[in-house]
Amino acid sequence: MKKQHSIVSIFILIIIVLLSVVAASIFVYSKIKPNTKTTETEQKPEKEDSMEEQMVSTIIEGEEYNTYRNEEYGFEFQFPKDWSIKEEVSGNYYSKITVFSSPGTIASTLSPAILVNVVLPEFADNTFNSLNKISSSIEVDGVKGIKYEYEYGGVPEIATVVSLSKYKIILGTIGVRTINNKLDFHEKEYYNFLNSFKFLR
Amino acid sequence: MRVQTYKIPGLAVVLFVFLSFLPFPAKAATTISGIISTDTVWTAANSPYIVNGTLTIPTGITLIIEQGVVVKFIHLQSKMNVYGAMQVNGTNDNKVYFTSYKDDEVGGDTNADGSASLPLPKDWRQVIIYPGANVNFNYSIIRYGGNTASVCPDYTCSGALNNKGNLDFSNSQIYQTDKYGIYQSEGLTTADAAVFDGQSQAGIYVSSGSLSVSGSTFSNQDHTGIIMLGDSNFDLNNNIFQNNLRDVYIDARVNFTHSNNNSQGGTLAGFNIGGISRINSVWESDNMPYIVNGNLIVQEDSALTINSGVIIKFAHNQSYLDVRGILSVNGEEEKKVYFTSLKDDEAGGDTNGDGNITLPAEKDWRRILVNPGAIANINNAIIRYGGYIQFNCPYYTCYGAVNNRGNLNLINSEITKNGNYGIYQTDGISIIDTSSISEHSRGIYVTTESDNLTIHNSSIFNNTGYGILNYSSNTVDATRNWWGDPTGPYHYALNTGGLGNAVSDGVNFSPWLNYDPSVEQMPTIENLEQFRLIEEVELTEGESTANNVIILKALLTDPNEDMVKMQVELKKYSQNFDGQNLLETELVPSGTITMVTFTGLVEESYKWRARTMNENGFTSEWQEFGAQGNVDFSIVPLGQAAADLAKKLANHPEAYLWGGKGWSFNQQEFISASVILSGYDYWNPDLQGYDTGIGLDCSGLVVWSFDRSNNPFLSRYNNVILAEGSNSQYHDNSEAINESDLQSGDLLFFGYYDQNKNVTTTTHVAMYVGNNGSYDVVHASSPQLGIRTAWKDSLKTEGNFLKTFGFRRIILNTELSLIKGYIQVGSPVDLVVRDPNDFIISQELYTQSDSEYSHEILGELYYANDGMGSDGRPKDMVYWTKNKVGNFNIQVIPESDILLTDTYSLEFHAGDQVIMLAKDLPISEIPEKGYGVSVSDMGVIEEFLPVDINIKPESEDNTINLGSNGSVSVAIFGSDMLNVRDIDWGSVRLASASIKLKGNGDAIIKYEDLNGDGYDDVIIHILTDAFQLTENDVKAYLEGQLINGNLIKGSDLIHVVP
Repeated sequence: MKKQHSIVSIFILIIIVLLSVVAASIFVYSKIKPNTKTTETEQKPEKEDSMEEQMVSTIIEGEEYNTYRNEEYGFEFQFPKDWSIKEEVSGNYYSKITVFSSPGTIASTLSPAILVNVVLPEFADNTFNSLNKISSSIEVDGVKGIKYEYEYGGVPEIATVVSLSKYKIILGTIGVRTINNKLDFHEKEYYNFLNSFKFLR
Repeated sequence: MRVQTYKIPGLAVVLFVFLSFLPFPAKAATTISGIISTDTVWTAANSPYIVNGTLTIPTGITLIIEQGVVVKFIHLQSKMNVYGAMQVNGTNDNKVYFTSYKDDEVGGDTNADGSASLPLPKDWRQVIIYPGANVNFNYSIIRYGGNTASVCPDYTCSGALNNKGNLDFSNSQIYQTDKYGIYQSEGLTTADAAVFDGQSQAGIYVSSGSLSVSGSTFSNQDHTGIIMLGDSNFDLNNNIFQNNLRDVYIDARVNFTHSNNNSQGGTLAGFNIGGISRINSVWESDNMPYIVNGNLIVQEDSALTINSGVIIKFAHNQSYLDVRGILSVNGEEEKKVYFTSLKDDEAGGDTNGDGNITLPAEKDWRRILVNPGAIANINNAIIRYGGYIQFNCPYYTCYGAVNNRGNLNLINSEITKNGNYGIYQTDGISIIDTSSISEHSRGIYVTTESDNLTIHNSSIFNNTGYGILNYSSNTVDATRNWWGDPTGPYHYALNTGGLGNAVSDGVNFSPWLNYDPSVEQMPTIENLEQFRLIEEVELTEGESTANNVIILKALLTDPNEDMVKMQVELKKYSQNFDGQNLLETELVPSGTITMVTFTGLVEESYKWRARTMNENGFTSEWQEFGAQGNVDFSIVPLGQAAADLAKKLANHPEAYLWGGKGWSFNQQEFISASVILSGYDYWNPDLQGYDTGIGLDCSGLVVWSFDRSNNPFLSRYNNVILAEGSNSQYHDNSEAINESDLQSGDLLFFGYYDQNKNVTTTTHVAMYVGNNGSYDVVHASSPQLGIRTAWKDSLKTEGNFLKTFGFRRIILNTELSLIKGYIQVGSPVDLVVRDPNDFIISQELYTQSDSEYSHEILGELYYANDGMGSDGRPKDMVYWTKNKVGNFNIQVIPESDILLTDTYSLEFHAGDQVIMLAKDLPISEIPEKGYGVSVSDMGVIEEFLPVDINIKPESEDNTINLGSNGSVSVAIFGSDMLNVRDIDWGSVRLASASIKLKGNGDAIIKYEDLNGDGYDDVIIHILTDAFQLTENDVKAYLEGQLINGNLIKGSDLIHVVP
């Protein structure tokens, strides 16, 4: 009977040792692997396959900010590490790709804190026309653009338009009223985002 | 059994046989001659009657011959002379015979010679009807007569001779009578159901008098069935002519009427006619043609009318029609009049009875000659195979199928295959229209002496030399004709590229037709269009609509300018076109855009096709609207139609438009998607004026897609979506539904809940449009994102999606409160409106949300500027969506940049009632206190004059102590609109309490200008114990009337102490 107990104890010990080795290996691997990953930014509804067909971007994680890099259209920017990213591709004819980023686990597509919208030039040329806005010149990564500041529906918005090859790119932020009419507007983060924005070619 | 036998002697048998062959008369005969002196009846019992010599029936004597009687004439000179009357009463089964003495077939072997003699024509003479005599043959047979007297005229060779008497020959027959059946020198003969056979000259010959023949047969006539001469009357109906050399000959002077006569196997099988026509002759069509064998002359004082369907054949190359008076040819499109060759079997059959041995050819006959001063009006005629030119004939009468020296009007006619010339005009005037002239050496030849000739809308082709050759000094007007080729006529200088018939100088041929108007051109149909509701709302291919009134239009044309109509076949998409159940329009002129309207169509997908049919029944090919096999339109629920419309704005590079609602103030229309995407005039809230832009905002997408789907020309105040902003759409124009119940056209709302105000405020609305594989939502997102597609499952994860009641379905405006209303004022003024609940809205009061522009006190009052006044400025409108009962006060505020002479108009609407408060009133006359309107709980609206009042003007405190048993003073302030001295004090009430009176019954009032505005004011007193107030009331209302009956109303705040 005692012998049986010994055999069981040895078997448990072996199991513990094996598990320890596996855990140590995972820990070491996690310390030495490159801090880069290709990400599915969030769980998408199955039906959205046609709108968000394939992620063509990469997310490079950093200490406080992650970097969103899009090789196809040739740009990258940083966003706070605790924010989420969402892409819409091929959803609309005039909009080639739209990247949304907001705090939390789901990036808002209606009132994103950060917005990158690669559009046909005529869209960017038309869409701000009717607004009562303040226009000013701005440089984004050395490329001249125009910045629109306007209050829209009782909330502030900022949109910066710069050329991107045959397209134009709108870099924006959209405020939103939340519960109890609290204004949620990420102006500071927006300018950080503009400063971090880089053209890859 | 015992058998008895008889023996017949042999001699008896021999005797019987011998006697049987003896020539015994068949029966007893009555021989008669001389004069019958008394009325006499011949009976079958005494028949046969044998006339020996001449039997005379004198005047006043009647001979009746009963059925079955046989009358035999004994020798060559035997005859009957009737001066009185003879009635022959045969029957179909027992006919009466007038025959030869040798005729053993009837009445037996009267001459008892066995078969030694046989009857022959001319065995006896005839029955002669003398002047005044009356002879009726019924069911009689006359045969073997017609012998000639030794010295007698030709007419004696007839079975019956009517010499100025009255002869009725019915159900009877004449044959084997040598030359004539009946010969009438004068008198009246009627033949009905009679048979005339085998005469050598004529079945009936009429020299004069009248002849009426019906239902009879003329056969095997060696010469002519009937010959009618002189100025006689001839009525010929329902007869048959068989195997005659010539069926009928009629002198042109005969008054000839006829119908339904037929000919079989003759060689001149028709109405042969010639000579000089009567003064007024009318030829009608029959189954037999007219044959001109020689010439026919219409004299200077005569008219010949030839009606539709008549066929005139000319027997030989000397035959022609010589018009010296008036010729009127009245053919019809389907029953033309023919002038042609006797050999032309295609018209009127094989008239010459030779089968196909002879064929018609040019110059088979001569021409229609229109002499100087004559008139020939020829309509719908065909003139062919004429044009023979006789030797030594002067050119001016002898050329052409139509030789005109008079006045020729030729329309709808065809002149073809006439040899050298179709029309030859030596002088005179010709007007030719809608005709064809073909297959000659020269279609039209105009000599040097000729007057004018015009020809239009005609076909001149296949004329080998010239289409028109003009030698006259007058230009031939020949524009708008077809010359055989679209390149027009050849002219050596003016149109060298013309491949059509040649023209000489002096012919004005341009412009010409590039099609042949004589050939039926098929009508065409093009520009098919479909509309919904009214003609102005186009329905594109495959579009869906909630309107079940569909209008289908097309352009109908006919190259011949015939009247046309459209036939439409509308089918459910699942059905096949089968040409059944067509809807068609009335006949309209070619070139008309016409339409048909379908109403009450059920929800279904449809396809349709249409074609043009002209007045002659010719049709174009069917043309299907849009691409073949596609759905042309679908009737769907309103939400589906709105969703389908919203999808048209997705995926375009056009912008989001803040303030854009899809309503064009210039067009006064919810405009089409294409106009929205190209730019339209809209109310720009930032500019506070109208602007031009592209796109919509989020709530605008909802308003536009629903209201345009319903009726583009109704503003939203009378359409299905009244609410302008998403917030009011959420609160006023929709109801919550479960996500699982979502249908196309339902909405998703986004916003926030304000705990302090306990109210949900929406900031965005999106439309569910159904899953099409790529998206199921369309929404106008923001200026940075545009009008986008999305997935509902993604949007509902947005932080500000209203998770509890965010899925909603539109409640149509028509289902909202019945006495919702609006106040509309024409520019150039703004409004300040205070409603019965003291909500006040003005031009300056805005509420803005994330994704849209709105101008509202949510759920109470809404301010809009989406109408346009007649001066081009925006109309201002205040509206509400629920019942508001009580007093409205409306202030009219002039805009800043206007003149005092500018005018405005102001309307108040509630339910179905309207009050026009101001109509083209100058700005200078805006009432200081504005306008007042009260709305009762029954929806009755009434205008009143607003007045300022001050309860207890002597103090700041408006406390009313209901138990004080005292009175309360009230100041009523006068104004530009109110003279307080005009108030009817007996009508004034404050909180239902009347004014305090003096002991004499007069009101206690005091007039003075309390506020120093220059207008008298007044102070009155109200007894406190009469107030209908409670301690909860905070306002007291004053009502009254002016002396003129106008209402006045005012109010002031109060504090009630019980």
